[in-house]
Amino acid sequence: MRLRLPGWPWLVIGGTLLFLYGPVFVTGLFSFSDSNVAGFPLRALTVRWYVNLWHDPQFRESGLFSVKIAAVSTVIAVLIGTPAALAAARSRSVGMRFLSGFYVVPLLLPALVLAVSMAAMFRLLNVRLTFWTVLAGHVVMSAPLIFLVVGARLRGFDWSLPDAARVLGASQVQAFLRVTAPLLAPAVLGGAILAFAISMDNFVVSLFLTGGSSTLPLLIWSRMREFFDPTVNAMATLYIVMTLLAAVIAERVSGLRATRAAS
Amino acid sequence: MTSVAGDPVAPAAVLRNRTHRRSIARLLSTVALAAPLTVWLAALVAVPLGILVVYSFWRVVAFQIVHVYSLANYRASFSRVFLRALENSLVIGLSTAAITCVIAFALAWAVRFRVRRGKNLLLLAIVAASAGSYLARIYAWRGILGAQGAINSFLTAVHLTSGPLGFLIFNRGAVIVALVNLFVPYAFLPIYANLLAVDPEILEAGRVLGAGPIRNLRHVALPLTAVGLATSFVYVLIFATGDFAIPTFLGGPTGLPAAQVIQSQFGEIFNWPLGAAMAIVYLLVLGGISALLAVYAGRRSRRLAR
Repeated sequence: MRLRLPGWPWLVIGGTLLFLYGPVFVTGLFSFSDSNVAGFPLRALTVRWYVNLWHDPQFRESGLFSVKIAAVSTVIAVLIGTPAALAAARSRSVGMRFLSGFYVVPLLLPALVLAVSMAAMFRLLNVRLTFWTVLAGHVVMSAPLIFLVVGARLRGFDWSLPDAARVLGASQVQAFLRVTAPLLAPAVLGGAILAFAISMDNFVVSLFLTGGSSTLPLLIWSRMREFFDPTVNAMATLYIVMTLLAAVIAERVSGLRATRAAS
Repeated sequence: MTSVAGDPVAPAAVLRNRTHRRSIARLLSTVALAAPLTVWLAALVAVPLGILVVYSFWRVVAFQIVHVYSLANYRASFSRVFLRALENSLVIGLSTAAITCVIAFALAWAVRFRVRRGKNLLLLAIVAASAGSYLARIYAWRGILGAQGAINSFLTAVHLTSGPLGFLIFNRGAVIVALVNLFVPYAFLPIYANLLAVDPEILEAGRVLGAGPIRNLRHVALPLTAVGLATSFVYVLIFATGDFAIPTFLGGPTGLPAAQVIQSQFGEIFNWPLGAAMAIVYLLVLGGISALLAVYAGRRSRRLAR
């Protein structure tokens, strides 16, 4: 093959990975840098920023708020997204096909538009912005994701398996709990991990729907705007490690297949 | 419950009755399963979008939203300032989408056809790059492109430049670099999925028949991946033009994109009706471009199928 110039594929792969992980690497490096300015050369290494973070009440507060929102919104997203995926997989009707299109609309619209329109509605209805409005918005972003990931798993699903259970005497509920649910569990778990990570990183929806409380990204946003604050780098590094772990676990659990089919 | 198939003596009428009842039960269960998500998204996506449209006809007087209908916000949206902002958005969005797709295509090509060992690990590394805090990444670009950042420190250290290069940050270029960095993993997946369906033998056949690498790429590989490329392109275009945090931190004072202008109407400037009208104009422009691209890509892949 004449096309194969030695090494170009590895140049592309290496270059892209360097580009993709450059900011991540720099953030990690700066989080250990003993300097108040973001710059090179690094003079000395320190864990001061992590210690500061540990003693920072705002960080704890918004961290807790973020985890609460992410956990509850993921549970709700799974509880409403999975049944919808089951309905879409079993029905061939025009109505269901229309709804399947409707369900992915939040993934196709810019988050800014979704966020400001929800804020406009809450304002019109005089709904005070609290934990619950942020939660509602986060579910809007994550439920369609669960729908897609579980739906992708269901596309290759062998419906003769629960049918076989029925023929062998299982009730509808038993067939679902003992056959369908265990087969779907990896996709649901993988989708849930993704939804949790996306909620933890959501910035735009939280910005427009929160009242007084800050999520972690909102805290980072406000600190970024005010002044140079190296604890942001420490926060970011913890974040990156956490989301990378989540991505690796999600991949282990549900496989890249689900993500690929979802896109 | 016994199944119909296992009941050979059931008369036809009973059978019909049973299937009828079963199809109703099926319909009811489908409705029950789909209802929660439908209601949630109707209440928090469809209704709010409708309300946004209503807002766009209202006015703000003395920091109060007044429910008087007029087209003034749309007239203001078509002012030179916002049209310039839309233009900025499109320049940023289209160049980001184009650069991202070229990188993602080259990467997907290399991984699909040239990597033998460690492919899964590599795929994981590419997909995982989309994880990690979105805001923190923006922050990191300051540490890379800024006056004391990685690039300038390196250039000064090896005496290529005498002082920091100012043009690396706070302009459109920096915004595009940060956006491309964000979207390459997302653009990669649809293109890679398309390339998985491309048999290496087809490319080999093109070569045997005398097509050079460029012709092979243009007439064989690109039509085969047109759908994946268009998907990625539209996706990146939508999300790149919708971003306002990156231009806020890396864009500098000139060339504000529409999203940043819209965000400030809902934030500091507090003119929600005008922001709503701008958001709708922006959505319509974006929707029009996406539809054109979808039609174009569909036609290209259909022409190939013929």
